[in-house]
Amino acid sequence: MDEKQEVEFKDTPPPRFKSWKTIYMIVLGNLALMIVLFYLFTKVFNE
Amino acid sequence: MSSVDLIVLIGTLGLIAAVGIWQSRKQANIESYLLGGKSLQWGTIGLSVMATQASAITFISTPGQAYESGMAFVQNYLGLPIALVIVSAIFIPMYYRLKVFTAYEYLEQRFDLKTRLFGAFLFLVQRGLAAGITILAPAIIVSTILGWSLNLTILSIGVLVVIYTVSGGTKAVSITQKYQMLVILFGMVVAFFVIVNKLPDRVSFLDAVNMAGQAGKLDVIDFSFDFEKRYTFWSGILGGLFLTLSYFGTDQSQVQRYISGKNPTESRMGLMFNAILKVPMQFFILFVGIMVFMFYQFNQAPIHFNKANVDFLATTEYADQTESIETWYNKYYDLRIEGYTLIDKGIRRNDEAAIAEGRAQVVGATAQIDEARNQMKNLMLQADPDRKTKDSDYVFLTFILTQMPTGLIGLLIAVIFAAAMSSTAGELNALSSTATVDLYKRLYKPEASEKHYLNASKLLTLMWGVFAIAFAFFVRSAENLIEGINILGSLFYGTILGLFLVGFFMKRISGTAVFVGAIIAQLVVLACHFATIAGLFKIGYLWYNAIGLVLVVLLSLIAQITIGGSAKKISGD
Repeated sequence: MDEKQEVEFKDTPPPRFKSWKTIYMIVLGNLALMIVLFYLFTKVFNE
Repeated sequence: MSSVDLIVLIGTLGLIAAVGIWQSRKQANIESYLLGGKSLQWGTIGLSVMATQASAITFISTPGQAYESGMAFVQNYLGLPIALVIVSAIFIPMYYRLKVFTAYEYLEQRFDLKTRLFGAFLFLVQRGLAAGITILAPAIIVSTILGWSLNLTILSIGVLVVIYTVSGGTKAVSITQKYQMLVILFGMVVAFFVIVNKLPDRVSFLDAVNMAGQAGKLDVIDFSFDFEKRYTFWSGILGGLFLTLSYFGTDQSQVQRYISGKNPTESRMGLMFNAILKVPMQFFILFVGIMVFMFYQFNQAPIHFNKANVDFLATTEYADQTESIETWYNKYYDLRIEGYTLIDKGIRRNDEAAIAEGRAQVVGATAQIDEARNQMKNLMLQADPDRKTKDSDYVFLTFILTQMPTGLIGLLIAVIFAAAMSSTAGELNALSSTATVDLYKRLYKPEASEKHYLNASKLLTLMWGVFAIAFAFFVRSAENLIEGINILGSLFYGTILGLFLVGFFMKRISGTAVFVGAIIAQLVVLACHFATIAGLFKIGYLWYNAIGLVLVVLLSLIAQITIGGSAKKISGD
């Protein structure tokens, strides 16, 4: 087998935020916001 | 195309390639060549990931798609941010922990050699063919519309890519992709403002958006559960999630972009950059197409955007009929423009009757215009049943060439070329890495010097480049092939994603069990495809992804119970 040395994964926090969970929540929140805006856009310009 | 445009085109592309080659000139070993010395920062990674995904067809076809069918296509991207969060949280830690060069190394660490080779083989088949199409598809459209030789266009895209990809490896690819993506974004923003500026003075931007809405072009979100509809919220968020999870998590052309980061934080930030910006970017590109649509409501559009097809008709026995259809089309185009003027005057005078009259005139004229366009396409098919009559891919380029000022034409053609080159470079780079690390080094020459592997990687990049250019040379029709490549991807993506997800989440499954499960799953997916071709039943090809994935998971479980075998453990398990 191709011998690979595993290294310890250091889970450093993202810049300016406490944890990656916060970033992920921002990304998913941003997605939810875009869906709402797209919905409103569809509604407003279809009437 | 004027000499100024040609200078802008050649200057932009040449300068980017030269900067890429210069900044990556010192390649000492395979790590610096294939992983860019693990020195890249999140901005470069983010733009490079974006550039790899966005091919030239994205910038040629997407505005045309909006022109023809509206904004609904953006829903296809709604699963992407979720997929990128999953890749960032699960795939990146695993790849960094194992210090892999390719995604498929993980499969050997977790399962066994045969599973790794199977994953690498599926990638090489699928991506190897796709690389040729990535060059060919835009070359056909650009050469048709500019009247250039197809072979020359293929060579001008292909040769420059091969030179900087072979010479500078991953670092050159990522650096050039960064600048190419910046040129692309700048070019599209400039194009947008020029189009809006070209709308009639009496029509404000908001008026234009309102009119596009009235024409049914601004239906972005559709929450219906209609499986026959091509783009809905549900197909986008669910189908898009599986497709993009497989693409970003297991396709080496993307994995290589982000594992070349300086550290996991840079890689993750690069992906989050895409998770935030990709959907608005696609929305914007579609919106550019909507503005082109509005421009052609007030200015006459050609009856058919692929001029080569119209020129062809003029040489056939249908030439007279072509002329009378064009006269009919021109008449109703003028009537439609008059109708819009009536609506505009009615709005200004608050005259409801004038608005209603104008609307009726626009609706009636539009029906006649559409009928004339369809009749023209029918004539083309009568003259040549094999002719491709879909002209939406030619809309945006036609607009650029006929309406943009000198200099900007060169810049926007550079945008198309840059997009073709950036995705091709990512593909060649990944094909070479997989062929070098997963096949050559693993099977043929496990003990050799760094210099030997470096030279082997360069040689394999060159070979894949020559293969892609040769493929583009010998295949002449791209329309069905683009669809073919999408089908090819869907045939294998489900199985590949299944291998990785079983590895991550089903810790007791052994290598033999998952291998048996994946082989059977792949055969079933292929059987479904051939049964669909034979007309035995019909399954949309996007469903192959889900079928492959679910089957790998279920069949691995069944195989584990019946065959047995112990699973390997890797740290973090």
